[in-house]
Amino acid sequence: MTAPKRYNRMIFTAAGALLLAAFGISLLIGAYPLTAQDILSALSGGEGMAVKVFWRLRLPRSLAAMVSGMALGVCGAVYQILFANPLAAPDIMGVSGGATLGAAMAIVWGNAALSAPAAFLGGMAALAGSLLLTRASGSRGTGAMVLSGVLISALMKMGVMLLKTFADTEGELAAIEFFTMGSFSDITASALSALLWASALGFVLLALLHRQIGLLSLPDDEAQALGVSTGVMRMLVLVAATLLAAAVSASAGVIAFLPLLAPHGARLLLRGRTKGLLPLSALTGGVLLLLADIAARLAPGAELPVSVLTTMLGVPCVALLMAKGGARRE
Amino acid sequence: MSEILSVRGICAGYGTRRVLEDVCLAVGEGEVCALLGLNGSGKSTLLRVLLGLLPAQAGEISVCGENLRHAAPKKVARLAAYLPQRSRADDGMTALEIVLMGANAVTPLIMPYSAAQREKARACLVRMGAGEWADRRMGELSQGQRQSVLLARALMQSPKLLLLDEPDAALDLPRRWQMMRTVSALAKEERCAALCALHDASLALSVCDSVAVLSGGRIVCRLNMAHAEEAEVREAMHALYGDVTVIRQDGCWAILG
Repeated sequence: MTAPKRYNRMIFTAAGALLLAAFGISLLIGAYPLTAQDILSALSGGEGMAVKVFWRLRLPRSLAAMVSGMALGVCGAVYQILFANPLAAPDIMGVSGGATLGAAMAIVWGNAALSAPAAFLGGMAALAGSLLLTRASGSRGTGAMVLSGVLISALMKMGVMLLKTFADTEGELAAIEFFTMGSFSDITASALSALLWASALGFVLLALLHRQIGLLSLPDDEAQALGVSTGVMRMLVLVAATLLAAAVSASAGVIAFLPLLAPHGARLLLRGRTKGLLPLSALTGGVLLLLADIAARLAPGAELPVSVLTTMLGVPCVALLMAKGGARRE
Repeated sequence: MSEILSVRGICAGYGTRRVLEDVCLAVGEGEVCALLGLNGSGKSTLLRVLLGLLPAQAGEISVCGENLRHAAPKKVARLAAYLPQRSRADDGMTALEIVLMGANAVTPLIMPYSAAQREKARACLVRMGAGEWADRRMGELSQGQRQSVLLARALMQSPKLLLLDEPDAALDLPRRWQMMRTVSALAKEERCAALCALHDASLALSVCDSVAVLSGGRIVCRLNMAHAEEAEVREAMHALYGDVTVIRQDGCWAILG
């Protein structure tokens, strides 16, 4: 086995172990702390308050945080590769803006229970809008895509602003704000199962197209000369990756910065190599979001929105990245 | 020498601007044809049309008798390999990963590359003198080394036609000549045709088997370097560059402005 291969195996084992450890800790911590014995008793079919907390609250929450982190990590990695830009994220295609608008529409006009599917549809619709706009511009380049994303984001933001002015200040406004900050505290069984199914679909699609994703990191003409139907393939991969982000938004609201952070963590661990970036981003994403969610629960007083913590970590990291990138270009 | 690339009556352009006007060109087996022309004469455009990156408005393109106009990218990639000026590949990919991409067109969409393909990719790197860099990141390699990796990737495609877009642009002088001699040797060994857009006329006249001069969107002159008379070459260079000095020495040519 060559040295890089051995190193990769070590990194993956360590990251996997860390993910399991974070998941275990996440099961124990909360307003109603559980012990390892409580969990064993729940798994062996016991009864009581602790067992109920485990099955109804703690397990769904921990699973949702872990899978969301993995999904956002993979999604971010795919965006970075596809746009050949280390700062690319689903947000640039207007996905989180669309999800927020969808959720806000459900909250203000209809039934707040429909906010999850509405957020999902909103996120995918924003992507579709960005892609259509890109196509209408006649260019398939990255620049046109980013600009379309900015425009669609602005449109979605305007929609949310309008809805906020119509929303009643008691419940609806708070619900919209809550969505934009992201949280796993109120995850329902149906939201969890939707998240799991959608993520599984996204993961499988991306795993199948794994080879093509590498080719799409090349400029379009080089990729097409190697036999890739770049237009169709780019779209397909983008939709599969966005499916992941939209599914997370639908179940837990907007979680800032994670799609940026997780792949960069993975890149650091891989020492600049691209091989294994997607699966490792899933692991780093899962670990980061589990830790952020644990920290949110540990905060004294009220529980914090999880985006507060991911942003707290994200801003300095991206600033560092910008400074480092600037230095490299010199 | 049997004909591999045959281009007849190609017209192409961007929007309403015609760049290529009735281009006809034939390149045979083992032949390296240099494409010379001033900036904006349509050298890159012709390569883009041959690769199917820009649709031709009229004309026919065939490689080994197979029609390449309107062909799907996969079919084009099985017949023709492309070497860009410089690679903008992800710095984090290893040379081996880049070379393996050359097998994309013959690998089913969702399948990984096979062990046999990995062996072949390593062999291609070794042939290009790049065997030691197989597991290095592209970001660690020099421009010359990267060009060798890209050439190995082209070799991996087992192409009938090699299309090179100013492959010498990022290289220093000795590497330019070395690179073109390698391309020339490859074309003979692989029995494929090569069409190579070049800026350096001295290099084109000295190393390539033939030269096609592109001007105003047409091929205005075709030289076969094995039989070319000095007067013929001089006339072609004057037509292309105006008043230049043409020197011939030891089978090599030098064009002085």
